[in-house]
Amino acid sequence: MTQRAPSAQRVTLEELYRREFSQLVSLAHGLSGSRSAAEELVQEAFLAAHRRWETIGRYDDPSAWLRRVVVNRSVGVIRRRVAEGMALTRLGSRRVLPDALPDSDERVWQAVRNLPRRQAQVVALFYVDDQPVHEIAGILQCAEGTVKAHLHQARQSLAQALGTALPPDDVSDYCPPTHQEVER
Amino acid sequence: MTMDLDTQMRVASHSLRRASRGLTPTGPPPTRRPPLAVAGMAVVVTLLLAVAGIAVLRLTDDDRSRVSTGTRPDVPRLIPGAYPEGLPDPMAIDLPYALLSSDNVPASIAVYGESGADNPFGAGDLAVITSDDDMRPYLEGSGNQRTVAVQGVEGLSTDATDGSAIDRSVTWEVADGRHVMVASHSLDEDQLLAVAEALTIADGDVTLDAAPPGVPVLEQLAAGDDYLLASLVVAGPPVRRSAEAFMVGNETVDYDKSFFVVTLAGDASDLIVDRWFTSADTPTEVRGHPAWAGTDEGSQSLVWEESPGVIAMVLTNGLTDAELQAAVDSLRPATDDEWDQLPHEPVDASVGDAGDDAAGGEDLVDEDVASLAGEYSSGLWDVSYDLVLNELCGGLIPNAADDAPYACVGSDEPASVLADPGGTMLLLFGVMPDGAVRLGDPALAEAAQVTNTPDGRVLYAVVLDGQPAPTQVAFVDPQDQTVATTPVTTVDAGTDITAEGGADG
Repeated sequence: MTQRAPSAQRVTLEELYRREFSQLVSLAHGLSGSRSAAEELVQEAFLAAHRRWETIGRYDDPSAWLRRVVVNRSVGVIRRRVAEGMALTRLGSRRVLPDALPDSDERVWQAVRNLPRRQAQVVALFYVDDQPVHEIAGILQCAEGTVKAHLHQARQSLAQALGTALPPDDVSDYCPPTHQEVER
Repeated sequence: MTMDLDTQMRVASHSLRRASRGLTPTGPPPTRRPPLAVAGMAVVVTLLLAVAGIAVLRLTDDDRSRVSTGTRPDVPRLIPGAYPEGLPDPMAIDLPYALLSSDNVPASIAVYGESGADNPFGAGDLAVITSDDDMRPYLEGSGNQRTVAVQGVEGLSTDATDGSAIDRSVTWEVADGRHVMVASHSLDEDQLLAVAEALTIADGDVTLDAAPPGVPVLEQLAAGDDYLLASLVVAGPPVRRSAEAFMVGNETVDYDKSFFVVTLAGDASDLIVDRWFTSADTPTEVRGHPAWAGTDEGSQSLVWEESPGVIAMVLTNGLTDAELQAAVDSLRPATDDEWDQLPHEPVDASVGDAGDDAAGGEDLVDEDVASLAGEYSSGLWDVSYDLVLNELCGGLIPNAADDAPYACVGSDEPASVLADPGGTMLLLFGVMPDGAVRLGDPALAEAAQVTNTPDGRVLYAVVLDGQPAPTQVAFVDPQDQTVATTPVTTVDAGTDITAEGGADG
């Protein structure tokens, strides 16, 4: 059960929007593979949050809800096409898109998108969003062990797909440290 | 030096974050959806309606007082009498293209093939699409891409792997912001590049005078200059801006099953364009009309001339042949009453409010998801019910196998079974019918994990380790009275959304 924060400490949707927007676009970009769809998917998530803000705004961490919506919506081909369609209809406004990725990095994300859906979501949240395992479990509403298992399988598959090596100390239950943990 | 995986992932993640760094919002968060093309909005509304669970008209044969049509010429609004099971109720979409704003992407399209042949695309096919807007963003993420040199500039070569209507294409910008795409279902990249080099481009007009060496001789079969590319993205083939068009149907929330029937005003040239975009090249018959069928990775298309000047299409995904046949055979024009009573694209506020009422409100407890998880003899399992996405997903994570089956079904599904790759472990899961609190079978009830969903229902999951799946499941109320007995549906891990992208993990 998510604890509710005192109302005085509630973050506003506008604060979240300014703080999280580009990071969520990164997540959507990596998972959907589409620069044009990424921003649209995030806008959709914020629109959904706005409509239910009375509830979502009381969550301890409304950004976790937003992340779940974004990563869930980013992995569906049709959803991506819808978002692309909407983005295309707005080409006249010349909205700014995320920059294109270097080919080598695009290849990495293509491999991530080829993973089973849940694994791809876990990988994106872990590496792009720097979320530790227990936070990912909260975002995806599953057990920490499930996240670890997905992350482990995903890393095995990615190492094979990309022809790269796992770190030498990699063991079956190993989870690599996040950026933040490395920096600490 | 070779990077290990973690380093490579961090570099790629940094690159991704850097790519979006400049996207700082300049205004407040969105409070309503901006005006969009109706075609785009239609699909969005479809999803909103699915979440909202709005009750819609059940199509019956009882009300055929007046046939509902458009005009110029009379374009019947076809509806299926036998709507495929397992789909959300159908919605109706008027496609009044006159309402499209100037933001939309107009395109000129020419289709090439072999005239007079039973299958004009059998020997080779080609579409040349030109637009004053950049079409490359549409192609992003749809498959393998690389930059290529074409007509002295940098172009984008795409080999789509996501079931896109355009399989292989080369796109580049010509003078003055004009963009050209050459696309084919049969030509390879070298052949497309040869075609691209052979094009004559003058004053924005693009012509192919002769097929280059190594490319099948192709003749221009169709051409039009007022198509709307946006409709290509969301509603199958492009439709002329001036055409009256209607669409009826819906899709499951996890997109694994869909049925849409489109009727629109169009001529013989449009028919060729529509056939090319839907890969409908196999002759067949629909309700007495000569028709063409296409299949591609689980999606099916049928295109035919419903009457002079009227084209009809059925675009589906995940239907059995029998379901498709029954639905197509049952197509008939809607009456005015039927059309009026179907939910239409109500654009923003009303749908949003309805969605809020259905999805939120007092019943919402604290989160939008209910989940269950646990271990079994050789791995982990989890089940989640998502009120926002209106889906129910089950997953297995075997310790030993590379494959982690994961499937999503509609959130009303009472009893689904997912098997692990070894086939000996089954996960039975579902949302109990209203009023039910536990499974009727004492052994299953004993083994089940249950939890309440945010909208007041009961989510359950049972691990069947080495036991056969039951053919049906009974649900009982607190007084042990049977509320319902439902058959158990075996779900394929292929219903994983990633399967649409060709991934197998």
